[in-house]
Amino acid sequence: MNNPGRRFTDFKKIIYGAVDDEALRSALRKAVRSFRENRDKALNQFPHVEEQRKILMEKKEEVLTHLDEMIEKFGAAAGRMGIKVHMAETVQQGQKILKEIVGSKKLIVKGKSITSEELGLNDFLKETGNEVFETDLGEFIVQLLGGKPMHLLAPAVNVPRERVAQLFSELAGRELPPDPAKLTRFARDFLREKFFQADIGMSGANAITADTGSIFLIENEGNIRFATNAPPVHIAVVGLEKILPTLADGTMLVEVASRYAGYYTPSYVSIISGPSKTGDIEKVIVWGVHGPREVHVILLDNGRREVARDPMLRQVLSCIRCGACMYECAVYPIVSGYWGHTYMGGIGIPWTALIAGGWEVAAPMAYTCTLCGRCREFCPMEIGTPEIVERLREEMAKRGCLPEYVKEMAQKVLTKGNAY
Amino acid sequence: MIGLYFGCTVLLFEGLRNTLEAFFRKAGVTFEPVGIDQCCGIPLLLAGFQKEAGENGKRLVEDISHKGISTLVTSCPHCHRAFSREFPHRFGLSTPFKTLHFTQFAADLIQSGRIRLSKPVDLKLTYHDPCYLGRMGEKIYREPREVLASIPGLKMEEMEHNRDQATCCGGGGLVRAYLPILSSAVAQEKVQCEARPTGVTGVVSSCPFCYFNLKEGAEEVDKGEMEVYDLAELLVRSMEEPRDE
Repeated sequence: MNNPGRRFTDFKKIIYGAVDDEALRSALRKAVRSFRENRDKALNQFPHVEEQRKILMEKKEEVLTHLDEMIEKFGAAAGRMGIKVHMAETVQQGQKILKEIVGSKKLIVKGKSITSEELGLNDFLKETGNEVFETDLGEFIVQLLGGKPMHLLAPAVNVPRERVAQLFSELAGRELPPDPAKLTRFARDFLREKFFQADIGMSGANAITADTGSIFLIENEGNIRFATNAPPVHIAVVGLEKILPTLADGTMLVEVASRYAGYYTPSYVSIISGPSKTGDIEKVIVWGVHGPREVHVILLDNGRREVARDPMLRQVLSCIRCGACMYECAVYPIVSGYWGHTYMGGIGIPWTALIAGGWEVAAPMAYTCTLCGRCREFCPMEIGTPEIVERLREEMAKRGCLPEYVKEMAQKVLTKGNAY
Repeated sequence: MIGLYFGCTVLLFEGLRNTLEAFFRKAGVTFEPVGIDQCCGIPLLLAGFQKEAGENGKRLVEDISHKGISTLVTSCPHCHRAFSREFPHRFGLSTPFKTLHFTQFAADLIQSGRIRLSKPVDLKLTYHDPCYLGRMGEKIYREPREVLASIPGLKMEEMEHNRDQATCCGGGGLVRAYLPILSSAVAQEKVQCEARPTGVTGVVSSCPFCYFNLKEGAEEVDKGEMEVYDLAELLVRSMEEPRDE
């Protein structure tokens, strides 16, 4: 590896920049407070979720220990419904498949999806001559900023309204006030046009179900509905870990994920089980009535199958991305998504090391975790992040990827008998 | 025989070490100091050197066993976790002695009437659960609270998040070694958002890492109005000098 020390000093600068950012801190404080209130309310209102999350944990384990079988089942079920399923072992394969489906000179509208970021989707699509619009409001803001999302569910958690007004004013070519309602209205009008002009709509998935071949999408804004319904082609990029055995398990995930994310009930749950079709004129099947005529699922492995083979590490694949761990973390509410690569926060450490980023990128993140274990207390899947991070640090130390002073401390323990 | 394992972080700070020694003197308990020049190895483990931590642990356990220690008292929660968890469970070492954290040992002495707490400590404080004593360790939540409750004059308030849900001080996981300013920021956040709303004037902890990290953080908040205390220090303040036998 080229200069591991440099990575640690660069990362330190980024983290310290975030520590000094007063606006960020107060935005995050507000976000944490409202998240806790909402989550507690949602969990109190629906106490059966506690039972459901335990069942869901078992289902996830079942899938992860029978992954190949589940992939095959999903492929067969989705295929029966007319969904084209593609298997991408690597990022390169994923991009190749995407290029074949998309081509160039297309207008693409996207729903929020971290899995798509694993493929470097936006840059890749632009490089291949397409135009891409993020349609989740937070992601749209982040895209205009040219930055990176700072939270799983609230990507623009760090951006004040004044900055949003400035960005939108530039786009509108007129002055827009820093009023959330007016800014949202502008985004609605601006993106509405794109939804209808788009050639392709893209999404991720919260779950896909092996018995019915269905794609589950949870949202509040309604942008995913538009993006997956208005354009003639829908492409979902889905990590293998998103498979659940049955449609009923999918609905269970909807409840667990949304309540733990602090929502009573999400405004929209879309279950897509095939392209739009009709046989209403003389029983002749015609594809693409009001919805897309083509639905593609790109199943992304990118290291997941290997992780699934390890009984300890595979826990990280059961993450349902509710984001609770981040709000309850000691470090995240200070530094937000600066502590991350594609995946962020404590759970982002194994995801970065093993799936999206690699050991060298993950190492500074790993030594930023206090290993306090509070995340697990609030994780619906009880993911043992601290033990996993400890184990990953072992591999990082072997590779020489550890902070200089930490290395010195360890050497002192070995030579002097104490760490100082 | 009782062995007292100070831990290298306690040894690093004279004040903490003196407090511990004063406690044993006032309690009239003799002890054998152990591991003065040997770290428990948790820093090795957290840095990523598992094998070395195991070898270190093996030497340490042998050394302590040879000394005929029956009860080992650790003042640092990290050492406590090393002896009670990592050595027997991770490294399969047999530890032929009982390991107690200082707060457990003190709670026993108070309960059995071996020590008397008579001098009032007129403060209103909140207790910070160290992660390695609580959720990441043996979940020692009752004893430190019992000890604090038996100090006359001392009033305790719970923070919104405590015990299993207690928030971290920011000093753990060797983060303080890599990103000390981040550690301090986490401590400041804890002081502001958890401790301050309880209306107390200070935070008390039973871990040298939490103690120093919180202390450093608290100095940056509200002109340092929030004090940070070491649990043993409050105890020693309240204890009488031993009566002559």
